[in-house]
Amino acid sequence: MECVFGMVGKGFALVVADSSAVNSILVHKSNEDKIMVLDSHKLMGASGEAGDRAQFTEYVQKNVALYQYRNGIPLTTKAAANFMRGELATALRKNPYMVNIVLAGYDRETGPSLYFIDYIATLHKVDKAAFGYGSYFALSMMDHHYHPNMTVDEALKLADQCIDEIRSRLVVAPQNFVIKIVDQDGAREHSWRRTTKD
Amino acid sequence: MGDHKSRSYSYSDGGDMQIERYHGGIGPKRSNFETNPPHNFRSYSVSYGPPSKTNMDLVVAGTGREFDFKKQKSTAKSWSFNDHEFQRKKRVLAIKSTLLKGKLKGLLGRVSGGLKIGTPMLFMDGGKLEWTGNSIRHLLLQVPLKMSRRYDSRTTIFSPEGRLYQVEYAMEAIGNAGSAIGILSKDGVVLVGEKKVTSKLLQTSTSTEKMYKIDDHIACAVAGIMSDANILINTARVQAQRYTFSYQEPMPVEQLVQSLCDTKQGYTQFGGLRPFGVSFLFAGWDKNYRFQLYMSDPSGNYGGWKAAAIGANNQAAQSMLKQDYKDDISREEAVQLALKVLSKTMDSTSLTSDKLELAELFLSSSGKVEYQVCTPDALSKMLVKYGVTQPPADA
Repeated sequence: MECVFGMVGKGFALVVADSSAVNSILVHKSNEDKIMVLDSHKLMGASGEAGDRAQFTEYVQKNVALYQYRNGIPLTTKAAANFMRGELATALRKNPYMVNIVLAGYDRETGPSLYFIDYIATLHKVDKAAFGYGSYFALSMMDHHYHPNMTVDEALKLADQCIDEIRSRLVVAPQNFVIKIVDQDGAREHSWRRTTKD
Repeated sequence: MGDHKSRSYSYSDGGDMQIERYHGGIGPKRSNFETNPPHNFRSYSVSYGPPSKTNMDLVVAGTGREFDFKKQKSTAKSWSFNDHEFQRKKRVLAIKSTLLKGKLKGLLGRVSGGLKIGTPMLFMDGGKLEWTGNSIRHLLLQVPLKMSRRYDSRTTIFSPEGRLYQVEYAMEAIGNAGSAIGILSKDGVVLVGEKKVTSKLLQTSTSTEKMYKIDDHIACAVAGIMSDANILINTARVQAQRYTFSYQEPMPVEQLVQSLCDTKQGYTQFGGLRPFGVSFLFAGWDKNYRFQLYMSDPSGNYGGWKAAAIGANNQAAQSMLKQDYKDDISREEAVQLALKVLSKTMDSTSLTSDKLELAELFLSSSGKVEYQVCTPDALSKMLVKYGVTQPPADA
């Protein structure tokens, strides 16, 4: 029951993901970091098949890095999102990647942005997004409490409310969550919400 | 021997195409040339039958095979290959040609770099594709060369002095073509080109001879062999669109130039095909570096310039530009400078609007990139205004 969600605030974007690595009834570990730092100002929270998730996110990360080395300028968040969508779309009719991604980025010219990228290559630019069974609860909470231009504290409070809702209402709720944030100073890990020690 | 594996042409390397592979021939590797050599090697854009796997209409220039000039048929047939015939002929020729090596050395001394006889589409020193099977036939008593001579001038081989002759000859070819000048100003880029083909009989159409739009934000001016230019312009357009397809953003200008130059470089390193005989001036705008001007040549080198000239008399034009260019030149001043320089370096005595093409790349008031080719009337007026042409006699 993986869960990834994110939202855009004033000058920043937030991505929250659970940290459970599960194989049928077994929990391999509860501190799996599913939010990859794509480059200095991009975050990519991914959920789905564990192998595909690692493969695809690393592939994207290396391509984004290659672009920067080749051309001396980083990709914008929009370009990175479209590149990812293109890759998913190309693979879709042959050998699809079963990965759902929430991409958050900060660009100097356009500010923070959030992209919802489905495993079937759906791409939407959004203010709030969520994947997994937890999305039912997270989206409802965010629909109720979200407003544009939230401060970091407000956004964190909303994230906590979502996490609480998921924990209390989802039958097999993930135990721990990681929160990462990206703003003009870069992309970094913000905090964890643990119920169990690793 | 000159065999090369046929490589399938595909755009499938993740859209990050740095070097495009091209098709030298499908499957069989023997040419029909030894039995039916085309007599006229002067055509600049002969396509020897389309390689069916290519996505682009690449011109497949000669692959440097040995030719038998004994037959007199002149049919530029499509390349149906005949293994056994060729092998037999090869054996015969190997014996005969050793005898002629001495004679050939003297003969080829005239042609610098020792170009191999019978290879079509190679550049001679002086830049003109001038030799025909006929002339060589007479000189060589109808026996082609042994293969060792050919290595001197293949594009993929260095000379003993460390030069790539074919690339240099290609640049010579461009030195005979109509010139083009590009000037970067603070609010736009100006491209001016000299039209070589001006005849009353020429059907005037809206298309331009020297200026081409690559994408909404990139345009280029061309100097050299037009047919080669068409191929490269098409490549550039595809690359620009592919980038936009992947990233949903306009391709940064330098990346496009770089990508095209990587293509050109491929033709100087592998495959045995000659380089493209074109130089480009790319003018573009992107949000990273705003207005930019790039010049690229057949070797695959490119550079960013404030003002550049290609084609005939480009040295003279370049030095004139160096004298008169100022860093904060405006677009209007740039047009004036370009026209002035071109008028001085052009061979023709009078400058009229039908001998020129002028294009400007600038930002419209709404912030969109505009590429505008000057109409002949507006151009005539400008020429008169800047005093670079004779006004009409009755004015």
